[in-house]
Parts: sequence; C-alpha cells; structure tokens
Amino acid sequence: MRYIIANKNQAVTYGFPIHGHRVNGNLILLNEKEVACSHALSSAKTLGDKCKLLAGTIYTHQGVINELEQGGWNNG
Amino acid sequence: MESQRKRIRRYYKPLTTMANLVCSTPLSPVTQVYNSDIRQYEPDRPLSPTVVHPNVVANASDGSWRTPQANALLANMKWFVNGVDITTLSEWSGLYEIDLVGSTRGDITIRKNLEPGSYLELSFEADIADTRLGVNVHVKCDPIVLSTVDKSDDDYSMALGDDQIIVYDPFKDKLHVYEYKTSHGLATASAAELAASTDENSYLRTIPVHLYKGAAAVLPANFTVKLYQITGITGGTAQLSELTTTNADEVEAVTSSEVSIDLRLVEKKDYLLRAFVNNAVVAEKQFSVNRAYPKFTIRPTNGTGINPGDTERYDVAMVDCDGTTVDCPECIIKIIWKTDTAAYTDVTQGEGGDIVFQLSNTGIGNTYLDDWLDVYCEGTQKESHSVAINEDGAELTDENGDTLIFN
Repeated sequence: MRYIIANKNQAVTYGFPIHGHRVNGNLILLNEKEVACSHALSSAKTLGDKCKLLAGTIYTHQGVINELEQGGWNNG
Repeated sequence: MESQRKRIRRYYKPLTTMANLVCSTPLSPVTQVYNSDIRQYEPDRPLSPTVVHPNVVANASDGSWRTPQANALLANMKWFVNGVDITTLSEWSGLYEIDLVGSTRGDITIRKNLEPGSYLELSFEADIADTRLGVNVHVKCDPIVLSTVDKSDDDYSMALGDDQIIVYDPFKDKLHVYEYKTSHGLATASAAELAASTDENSYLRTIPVHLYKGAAAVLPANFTVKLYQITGITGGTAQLSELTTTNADEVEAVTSSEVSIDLRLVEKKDYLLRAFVNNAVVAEKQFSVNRAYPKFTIRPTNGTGINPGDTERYDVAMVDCDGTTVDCPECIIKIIWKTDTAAYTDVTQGEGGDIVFQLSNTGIGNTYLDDWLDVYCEGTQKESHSVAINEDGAELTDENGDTLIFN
C-alpha cells in the first residue's frame, strides 16, 4: 500500500476529516485506499491525478516512514 | 412568622441510554491485512490509525434531556482490551489516544498493529452525569473485534460487497413499513410497491461474496462458504459458533456467492465468513451488524377543544426522525399515551400510534380550575425482533409456515 502526503486544506475541501489522520502543519497523511475510493475525487481517474487535486505526493511505505522520521507529525 | 419550608422538586423521567462502537475510519478498518510477502501491514496503523467511536445516545421520554448525542458529557471513560483496562497494558502504552473534546470525546485512535492471525476484543464503558436527577448513568458498549489476517499475493483473499460494519436503521426501512401496512390492512399488496420499498436500507440484507486467488476471481462452484458468529475471544483466539439457516433465526441464506441476513433480528453481532477449498480454510472476512437508535421527536396532533357532551377523545402521534415524518411509527416505537389533569397525573391511557380513551378515566373536571387535560405520549424505540415460540420452545408460524417474529 502506498501513502499520500497531501495539503491539509485541500484534503478537508474534498471531505477528508482531520480527525483520525496524522498531520504536520499544513500537511496530512492519507492512505492509498482512502484517496482511491473517494467519491469526491472521482473526476480524476488515476491515483496520480487524484493526488494532484489534493496537492499531494505519493510515497511508498518505506518512503513515508522516512518522511515521518523527520518529525513534526501528530494525530489530527 | 415564617412558616415551615417545604422543598418540592421538578419531576423528571429517568435517562435511557444506547451505546455502540463504530469504526469511524472505514478505510483503516478494525480488520487489518498483513502481507507476508513484503512484510507490511495494510494499512500500517502508525501511519494510518484506526479510530473507534463510542456512539452514545441518551434520551428522556418526557423530553427534558436536551443533548441526545451524549459523547461530550462522558465521564470516567475506560477502554478495555479483552476485558482489561487498556491503561494497565504495557504493550499498548503510547500506541493509542483517547479523544477528550466535543462530539468525538471518548474516541480511541489506535496506532498499534496486531500480530497476524490474532483477535482482540475492544470495549468501552463510561458515565453520563445526569444533572437533572443528580445521578451518574453508567453506559457500556458491546465489544468490537480487532483482527489481522495474513495474506500474500498468491494467497486466497475474500471480499464482501458491503460495509464491514452494517448498521440497520429501522426508521429508514421502507420494506418493514410496507409489510406492516399490508398485514394490518392499511395498504394493498402489490409487486410494484414491494419493489419500490426494497432498497439498501431494507431489513433483508444480501451481502455479495467474492473469493480471489491473487488477482483472479475464483468461481463460486470451486469453493464453499460457512458463516460463524464470534461469541467471544479467549487467549487471542476468536470463539466461533457456526450459523446456518436452520440454527440461526436471522440467517436467510449462505452460499458461495452471497449471504443473506434478516437485520430485524439482530441487536449487535460480530460475524466471520470463511471460504473453504478442499475442506481447508483459505480465506476469511469479518463483519458486524448493529441496530441504530437515532434521535426522534414525538407529539400528539389533536388540538381541538373538548365539548361538554364529549365522552371520548381521539389522538394520533406524529413522530419525526432526521427531518422526516415517520410512517406508521408504532411499528418502530413503543408509544404510551398518558394524561394529566388537576386531579390525576401520569395516567396511562393505552399504547399505539393512535388512541381513543374515555374522558371519564382522566379525572377532568367541570369548573374553570379543573376542566383542562394534558395529553402526551412517551416513546421508546423497540429493540430487535425475537422469534415467537410456545411454552415448549417450538416456533410459531402463520398459515404459510412462515415464522412469526415480534418486538
């Protein structure tokens, strides 16, 4: 499973709650299934296009662990 | 000289509470997958936590309780893992958080991955301070099961074409109302009306079952399915009881392509569906069914005066739920009609969606001081149905052999 670090405000606009997610400043961490299954993002066909709507970046499992190890992440 | 003082209190009805656990992160669910090929949890809870919400609803039949969604008022909150207070478990230390603010007060955010193949029971207890009566009301949620299934890319996997937590809301069930109306002579049965009443909120829930080997679908003819109820957790292992159409009242069908359940008969249950190939378990999937208890309001509708010659009084209850007037509310809510007069208070006149009662039974008088009458009703949502049985335990059926149920 891949993970997406997205813009928090964009994610909220598309219906993702802050509660239950890891956040860091204006960033929010979403999992691949959340983004892929979002009805609000159904206008975009691929995971990459959906990420663009969220101003986000796709990470591998290890990649996102590396990002979290930089610090600053809390529960939303 | 001041007289002796007499303190008189307001009289309030006691608080009734309903509480159940729901997973508020459906895409980081209570059942986690461990992919042993790449040694990763999907999702990995430290990255994508699972949140379980104790949905606590409180109500008083006299309408004096103003905050039905009572999470913000919870006190003495405790979460338990397999019946043990989570704060005493060192292996959970730092891997969970309990929300303390607002409507999500009591929510637990779980960042702990479970060992593949393991099961845990998570439960919740708390108090609601009832300031009207000066008492603490204890609420307790039935447990929810956390589990992790092991899967690799070439392994079998099962998918259900429905939510992992199915919530049955009788207020949204048009099929139940249609059958109530036709059986009580309030409407004529018709195939078109039956079809229009059957939707995703109907009590008869058909859950599609799919089995995959890797990415390829397995034909239903090449595997069998068994349905189990999770009756408890012992030593991290789920205690299972197989359910069939003959030994479980709510089970309508169990086949390789679907499972059908009559949701009216379920208050709260956890189920496990297992797929077998050559008599060996190859995949399993857990799901649960909960009965919803939404907030509703109820009021009498007859506002006409009482003429001197009147001997009877008729009234009809109007029930609103989620902004909609409820059709035939008596099939969902137990409605008790009561009257107050200058002479007598809290007099029960009967039960049902409408009522005809004798004015002579109310204590209404004939003078300006006592010729008034307060009519009101107290409503509580009925719990799940039960199968009707006689004193020997045999099920009662109608003339067609269909089992009779009631609540």
